[in-house]
Amino acid sequence: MKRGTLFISAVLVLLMLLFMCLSAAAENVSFEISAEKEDLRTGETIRLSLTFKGTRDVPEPHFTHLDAFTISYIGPSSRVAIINGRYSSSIIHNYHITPLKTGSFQIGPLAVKYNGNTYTSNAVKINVTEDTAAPPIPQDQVYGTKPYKKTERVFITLTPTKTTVYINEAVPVALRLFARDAGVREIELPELSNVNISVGQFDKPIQRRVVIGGIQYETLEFNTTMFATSVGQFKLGPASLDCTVVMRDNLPRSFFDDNLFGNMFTSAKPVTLKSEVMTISVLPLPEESRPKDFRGAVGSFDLDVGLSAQEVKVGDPVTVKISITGKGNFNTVTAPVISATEDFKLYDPAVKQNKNSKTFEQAVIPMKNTINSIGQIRFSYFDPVSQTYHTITKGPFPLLVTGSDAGLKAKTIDAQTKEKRQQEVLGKDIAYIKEAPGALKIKGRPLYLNPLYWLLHVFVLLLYVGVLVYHRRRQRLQGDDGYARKLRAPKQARAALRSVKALLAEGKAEEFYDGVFRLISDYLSDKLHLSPGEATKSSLVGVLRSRGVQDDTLKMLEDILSACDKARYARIGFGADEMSKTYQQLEELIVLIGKMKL
Amino acid sequence: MIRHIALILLMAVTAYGSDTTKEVFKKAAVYYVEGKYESAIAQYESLLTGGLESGELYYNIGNCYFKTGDLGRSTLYYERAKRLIPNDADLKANYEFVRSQLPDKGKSQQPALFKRLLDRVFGVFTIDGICVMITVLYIFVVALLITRFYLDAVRRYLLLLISITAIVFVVASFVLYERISVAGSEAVVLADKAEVRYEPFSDATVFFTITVGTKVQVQQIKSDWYKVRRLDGKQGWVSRKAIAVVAEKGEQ
Repeated sequence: MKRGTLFISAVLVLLMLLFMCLSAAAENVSFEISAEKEDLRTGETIRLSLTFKGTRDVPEPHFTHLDAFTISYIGPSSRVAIINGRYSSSIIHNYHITPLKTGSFQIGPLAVKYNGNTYTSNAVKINVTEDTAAPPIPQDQVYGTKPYKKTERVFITLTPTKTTVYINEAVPVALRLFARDAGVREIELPELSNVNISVGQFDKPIQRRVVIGGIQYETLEFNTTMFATSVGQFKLGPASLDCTVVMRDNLPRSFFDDNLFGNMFTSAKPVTLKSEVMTISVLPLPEESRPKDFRGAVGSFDLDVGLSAQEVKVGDPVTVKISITGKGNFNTVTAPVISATEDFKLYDPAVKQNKNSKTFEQAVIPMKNTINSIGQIRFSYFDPVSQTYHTITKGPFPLLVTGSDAGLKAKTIDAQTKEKRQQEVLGKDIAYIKEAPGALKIKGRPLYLNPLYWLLHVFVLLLYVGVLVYHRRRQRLQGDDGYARKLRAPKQARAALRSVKALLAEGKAEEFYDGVFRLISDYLSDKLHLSPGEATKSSLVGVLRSRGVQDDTLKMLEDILSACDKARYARIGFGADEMSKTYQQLEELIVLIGKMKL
Repeated sequence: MIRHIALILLMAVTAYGSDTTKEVFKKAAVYYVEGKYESAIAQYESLLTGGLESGELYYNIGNCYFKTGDLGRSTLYYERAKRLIPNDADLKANYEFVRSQLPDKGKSQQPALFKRLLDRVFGVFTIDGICVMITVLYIFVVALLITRFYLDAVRRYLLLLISITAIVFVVASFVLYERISVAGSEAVVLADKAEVRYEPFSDATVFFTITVGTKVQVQQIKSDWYKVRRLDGKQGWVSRKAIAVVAEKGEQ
């Protein structure tokens, strides 16, 4: 909102308030009284209102006495109205009045002084007749209707519906908080001291208004149930209840007051209220005509039974759901008896208990396939109202059992072991020490810091490179004949040289020169990838020259080949010196050509 | 030369392991049974000072410290044992139990899903174990590359096999890197309550406190003070006496 708009709004509100004040000042004050009803019965409480119109400032007139009536102040209520621009205000002081005797009475006219003026009211007529009707709350006729201390404005009572009960009989108990002419706040749940009597939790309280002895009380009722656990006479109570009592100038406004503004003129006092002590006589259950399978259930119950399946395999469970409903002490209700269970395996039933019902879900496992039904289910209880025992019987319940008994024994044993294991409570501690030292090693030397570890990786890498190179070479040798011959040539030449040298040593001139010529021819044709027919002197020299071989090398080749030709065809040069010279030239030539890239 | 040294060391360790170590373990076990935990610790510590270690040795010391009520040292030694025998069932059980006895109940921040998955897969391996795994994978890849020259079947599935192996190799290398990075920085609080300060001085303002058995990361060392980082990210300086590093840098 903008600042300007805010300012205009504030001015308008101020002007309105000023107008209202001026209008109020100009109003005339009038005083009226009115009663809620004119025809009453003794003990009936009605509201009496004292209305001052034209003002909201008249205080409570302290109207404390009225012939033939008890009177108590409830509190004021004020009203402001603007109708067609006309302002009116009023204040109403409310009282509760209760007639104490029969007859016709007139209330008023009353006079009230305020600001130097005396205002006089009208009069109202009240006719009071005898109270012949039933009391408003019948249960107040039993124990506890009398206030614990009548003189107190706030008190509690403890009211069991019966004081003579059977053992384990559930008896409703009411604890009531009464209050008149006072507000009660911060009410805590009641506590009840008891021996040999079990008392349940209190329900959510119920608020009521009751009249006792002609006096109206606001009440808060806490209900619960009790049952005696032993036979004899026992004390119930006193019950105690912690709360805060709020008094407002001795004139209370409303019950259980939580009005914010009420706090401004009130005094709050935390108190612990105590009830009277009740004596409860507990009788034992009669021995006469007690059923054999009676297990202590006390109340009035009904029984309902259902099966989870009509057909089941041997060894598989079927659930029997047994519901017990009704009224009574469900703590005493135990699982009903299932008859003829020899051929069944029974597990403990799962129990669910509510306020008015208790359910047992019993897992039943048929152990034989000859079973055709689950036997009767009986439930006996004692009804304290009729004071007799009752037995309800349901069943038998047909059940079709299929499958064979084989292997069931082992399965049952397994299940039992498993059950036991589930129930086992495990301890907690550390496991025992190791008796063997384990893989001891020198401290602080991880593998990754060891150079050998990394060398291993390098070695593996080198191995791969080696294999790769070898493979490539092998592949080339297989696919490239020229390369293979070239590669083969030096090795073959070396072998041939050795045999030529041997021939030289032996002095076999003809074989020697044949060997020399074959060596050069094979070596160079392999080196130059020539066919055997091309390995003539002229072609060899020509190819070598074209590949850039120097003249002196070519000259050496020509000399050797000429020497070979002479020896082979003209049989010249068979001398040892000539042969040695040729051999040396041959060696030199092989080395020279071997070094060249042809 | 290296081969000779390695052989001598191996012989020494084996001899020590077979006689003295077993004797020490036996003696310590007797002390342990008798409830003389301090004496048992002394026996085990003698092996450590002799430069030897094993997961079982650390485990036993952890047990002894637990029995003496020293939860901090117990946690420390179990942590040390975990590096060497991470898959030992007794160790796992005892470690969990001791953590549950700690004041902070061994609470730790849940790592990311990927990291948890890696911990689950590689948790059973020590650092050396991962090193061996990486080497085996490496040799396997090389073997695949070589055998492809000679075997058609290998050549057919080569890409698939190498891809899978390469992924495992990379992940294992990452885990190894992480483990090595953490080594030397993981520490355990030994004092019942250690004050972590803003500055490495004894009169500096206390930032937060760490309780016994809490795991912290050492960030920096300055004379008698460690700069530590708690799992929630808070950092500060703590006295060197109050904590102990699980494994020195260069140790497993």
